[in-house]
Amino acid sequence: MTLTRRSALAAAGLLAAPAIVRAQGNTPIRIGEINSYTAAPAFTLPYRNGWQLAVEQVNAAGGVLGRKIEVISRDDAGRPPDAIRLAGELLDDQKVDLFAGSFLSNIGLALSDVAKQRKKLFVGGEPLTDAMVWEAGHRYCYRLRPSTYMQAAMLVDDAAKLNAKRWVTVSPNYEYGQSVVKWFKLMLAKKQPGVEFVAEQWPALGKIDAGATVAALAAAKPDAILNATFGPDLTNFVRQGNTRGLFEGRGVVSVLTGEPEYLGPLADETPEGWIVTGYPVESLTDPANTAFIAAYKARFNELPKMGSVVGHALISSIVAGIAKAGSVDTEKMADGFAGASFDTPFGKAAWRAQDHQGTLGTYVGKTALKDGKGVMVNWRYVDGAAALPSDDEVKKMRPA
Amino acid sequence: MLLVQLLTGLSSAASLFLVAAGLTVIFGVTRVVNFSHGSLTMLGAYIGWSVLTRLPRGPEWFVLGIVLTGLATAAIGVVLETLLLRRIYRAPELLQLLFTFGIVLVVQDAALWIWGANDLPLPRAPWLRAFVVIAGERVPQYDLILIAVGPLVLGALWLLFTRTRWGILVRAATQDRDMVAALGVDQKRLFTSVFALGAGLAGIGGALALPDASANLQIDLNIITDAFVVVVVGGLGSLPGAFLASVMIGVLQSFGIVLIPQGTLVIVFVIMAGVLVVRPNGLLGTAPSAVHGEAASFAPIRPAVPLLRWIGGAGLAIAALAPLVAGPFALSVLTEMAIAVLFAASLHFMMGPGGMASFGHAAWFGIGAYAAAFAVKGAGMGGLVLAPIVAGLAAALFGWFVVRLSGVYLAMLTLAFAQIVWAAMFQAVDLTGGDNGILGVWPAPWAADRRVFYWLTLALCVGGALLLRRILYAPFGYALRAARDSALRAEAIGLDAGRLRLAAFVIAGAAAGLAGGLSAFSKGSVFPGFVSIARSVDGLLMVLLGGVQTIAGPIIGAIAYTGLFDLLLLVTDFWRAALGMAIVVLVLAFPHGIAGTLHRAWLRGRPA
Amino acid sequence: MSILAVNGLRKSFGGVQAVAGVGFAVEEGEMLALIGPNGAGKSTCFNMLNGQIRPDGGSIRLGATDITGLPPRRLARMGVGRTFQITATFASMTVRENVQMALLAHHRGIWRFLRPAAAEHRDEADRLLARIGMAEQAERAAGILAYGDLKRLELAIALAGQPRLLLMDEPTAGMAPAERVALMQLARGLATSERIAILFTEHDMDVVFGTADRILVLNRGELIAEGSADAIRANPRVREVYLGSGATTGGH
Repeated sequence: MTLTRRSALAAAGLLAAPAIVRAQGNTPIRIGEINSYTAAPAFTLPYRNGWQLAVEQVNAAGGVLGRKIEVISRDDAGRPPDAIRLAGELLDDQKVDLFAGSFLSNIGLALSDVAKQRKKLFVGGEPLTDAMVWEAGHRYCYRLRPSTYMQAAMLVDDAAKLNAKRWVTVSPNYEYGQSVVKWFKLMLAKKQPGVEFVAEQWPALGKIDAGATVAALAAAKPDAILNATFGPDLTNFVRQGNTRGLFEGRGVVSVLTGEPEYLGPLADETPEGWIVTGYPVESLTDPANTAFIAAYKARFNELPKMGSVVGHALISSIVAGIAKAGSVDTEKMADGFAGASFDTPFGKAAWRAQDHQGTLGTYVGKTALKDGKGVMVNWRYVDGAAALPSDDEVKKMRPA
Repeated sequence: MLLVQLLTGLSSAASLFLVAAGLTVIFGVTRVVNFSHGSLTMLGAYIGWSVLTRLPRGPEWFVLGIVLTGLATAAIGVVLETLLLRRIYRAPELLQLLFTFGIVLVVQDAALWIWGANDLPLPRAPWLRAFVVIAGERVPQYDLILIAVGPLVLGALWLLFTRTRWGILVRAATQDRDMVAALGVDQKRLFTSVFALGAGLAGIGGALALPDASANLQIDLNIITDAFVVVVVGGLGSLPGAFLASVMIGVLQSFGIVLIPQGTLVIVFVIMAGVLVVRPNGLLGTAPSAVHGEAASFAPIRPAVPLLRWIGGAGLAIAALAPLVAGPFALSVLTEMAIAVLFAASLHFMMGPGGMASFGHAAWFGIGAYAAAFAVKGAGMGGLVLAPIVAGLAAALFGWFVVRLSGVYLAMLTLAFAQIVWAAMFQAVDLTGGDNGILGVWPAPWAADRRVFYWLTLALCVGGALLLRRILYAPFGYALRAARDSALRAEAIGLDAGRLRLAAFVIAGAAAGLAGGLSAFSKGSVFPGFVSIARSVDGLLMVLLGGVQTIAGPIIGAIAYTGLFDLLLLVTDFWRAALGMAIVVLVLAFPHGIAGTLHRAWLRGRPA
Repeated sequence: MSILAVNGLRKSFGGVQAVAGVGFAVEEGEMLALIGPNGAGKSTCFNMLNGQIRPDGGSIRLGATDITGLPPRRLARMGVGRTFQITATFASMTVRENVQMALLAHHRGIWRFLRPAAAEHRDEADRLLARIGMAEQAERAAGILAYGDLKRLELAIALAGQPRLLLMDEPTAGMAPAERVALMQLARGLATSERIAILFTEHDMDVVFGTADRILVLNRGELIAEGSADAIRANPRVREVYLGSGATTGGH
């Protein structure tokens, strides 16, 4: 109980926010939330648990600015036009003070554009596209998770250490996958001149023809492989790769594969020694993580997944932003979020003033098999702030 | 390497063939275009997972598990057939499609509820991971087993259909249902058993794919599209055709991945378009008989009775005055409804009076939307003028191939074209932004006010729909219907059915393009999703819900569907199941669509 | 000049000679019957005349124009009307609209998109319906007509094209005997008053002998007899073909 209590306070960033007044029966602050619950349940359901837990904790601790918070959640079914419409509904009918959420990159960008048009604050949680904070970034949009650039940057050092010459890539054929491959190629070529990318595979999201894809990659005789597939595509890819010996004697760098929602299904076929980003939930020992894991287990009777962390941190980051802004006025929040720092299960993070990117990091490590289950070993936490390009580079990419 | 890709292609053909075989057998006998066949495959995967994870891991237990799964899905098939599908055998073909789509939605949520959201991979026993070295390359042993399964099943089905009394009856029923009925065969039992066979095959197909994949909630729609492509490419009702097509698609896909890795999204549809352009009835298909049940349900289209005109006028007046009271979100829903009305009316134009059902109407909607989005930089809202023009031109180009086909083949060719357009929008990232779409397509300042934009949309959409209606009452519309009613008679009085159909195709495309252009401005953005199968299906649902044979149908359907959808999306997480059940109930309650059934009720007791 | 002149018409399917050099002519106002036992080549011959099948050889002339191998659509525009063995009308239209549709097609009026069709050629349609005795059914849906009425409607549709030649395929098939006579008398009257040439195939010998001015008899793809009803009745080859089996089994 005390643990829950403590993590609630920590998570909500209340200790750091002096402006808090105790709730006095005011109307709650309304946060609109839109995500692809039916289209991507494996990630979004733990995510929903995560934000629900955070909301309960925040309210139990008295809310923010003396008001409770309330989340009005909607399912966009994975369709950007529906997301846009629902954003309208949330803003106009539900009169939410700001809105948040989304999983797919294209929906994230679409909602961000609504925010720009309507001059309302949008806080993106999971969408990884760089454009959200850079090329298409604007005053009213913040984004929490490490972007495709950051994911690639976190992995590229270890990738270069493989000292492999011939690389192949396999990546889902949409914004996220294209962006990962683009950044990875650029960064690796800078780190390791003379590296060659000899084949690319672009399976359609959710429709990989794994046998043919693996055979095509093997035919290119690579030294190392970059993978950005996830979910069912990843499971199929790994199985065919195992049987056909694709991964034997080759280094593999794989984005997101260490997240429990994607590692779990691989079970005893988890390939060992892949360099991945993820969430080593079973081996974390630091107070912030263990507090969150315990609270989550107590509430939902299962281990949190990456989505749970994102959902939880999303609420924390919003609450901290509101606390710092001292108001739910959109203009004040748009300014006030910048620089706000907040506690997440992974430790402290902040909203960068420069591009509204969150500095929430992620774990980089290697995959291993333990008791017939895939786990992450030799992991380290990489702070998001360390994986971002220089301020000048960002300035060039982001419109004023 | 060539050999490995060939073997890989052949093995992926096997489970596809099983599913497609079930689909084609069911279609052959019952003439039901069974969209829920993919759901049976998905259930096969889930049930197979549940069964196989409880059995020991030896190969003999695997076989037992697969057989049990087949029996289980066959039993589910029997339940589905006797409880639901049996009631709609006499309904028009397209309404059956709608009905089975409702089942798809319900099963999807049922599976979510039973098995949860996460993918369920089957832990592979060591023998499933084994490989054989062929020509210096590893080939999964399981692939070789699958390669053998395809021809084995084809052979077994061939024996079943040629050597048993049941099989001969089934073949006879495929040729002529009424004749078999006349022979005193219990048709109900025959249909049920055929459905059980097809469902069993679907289930086995789903379970056999488990070691290479996992049980997940996307299987149903993924597999049904592919299976439909196989069945259509092979020729409806032809088992050898389905086999040939699945092998062809499996192998071409597996080589295509090496040659054009970016093309995986679209390759099957390019194959299908190519085959249908050269062979309008598929590889081994025969010319289709008249679309079942449809000809009989034609009722004369008569000018609206005064009461209906009053209702329509009142509705329009309410719609026009709505902004004075409606909130912003209600207004955006109304805007969407208006767009849906024009989209549905344009689809109805070619489907109803034109007799050309389309599974790919979103193509023109999307092309219009993209045209408007491209033009917005230079022309602002002037892009709206471009939307119908560009969409109409594109429709003219594709339509030239499409109008020569008929029935399901025509519908599938439109689907293929829509998918090709979709892939183009998706792939041309530099031009279209790929799946990020084009953002910032907001209305010009004078129309930025939501009420102004709504009035503009209302005027254009209702105006467009009324214009379509007017065309239907004009000589052209009569000639179009004439060509649909009786191609023979139309020719004999000197009508050029091909040109009429092409013109209708272009008009429908242009109208859908206008709807798309408006939609782009109303959302402030366009996405490849504007061209998606889901969008086409939405249009079909609206038209079928309203009723194909009345002119008011698509309008009522569009309003009912948009309203229903928005409502369900807001009130329940299980919106799919709710929508699915609503569709099933509506089809059972309104077998001719809402407007069609009301129309009939109105006519009842009056001399026709 | 004859309305229709056929010369040396030939067609074979997979080596089987279905029609082997048939020639004949039909005159203005004449009713010509084309008969023959099953498999004689009647249908093939008829379908070459109406454009459904392309002949292998020979020529078909409509007046002075060579129409060999033209599609049905073109023939319709040149003044060839048709009725079908199984009636083909527009089921989603009323009886009057069926005729209006044919009139619109005839007057090249279909590529118009705005003016309601209901007002077009209405009077003319009603006149035609009156001529075939269906004026009082003008508002009924074609889809629910009795079979005999459908046959008459087809006649009205064909007449709307102001044909010079009317091809009627088994015009009385499926009708009650009394109706058959009525329909053929109607056709007879039209042939005479409008100077239309009518060529028809028919199974019912009473109809054939009762209405045709002249009769062609086809057997195994060849024309074996041509002449008036009496001449055909008396023709021994015709008797052999038609009554051949009867003559041998029930014979002397």
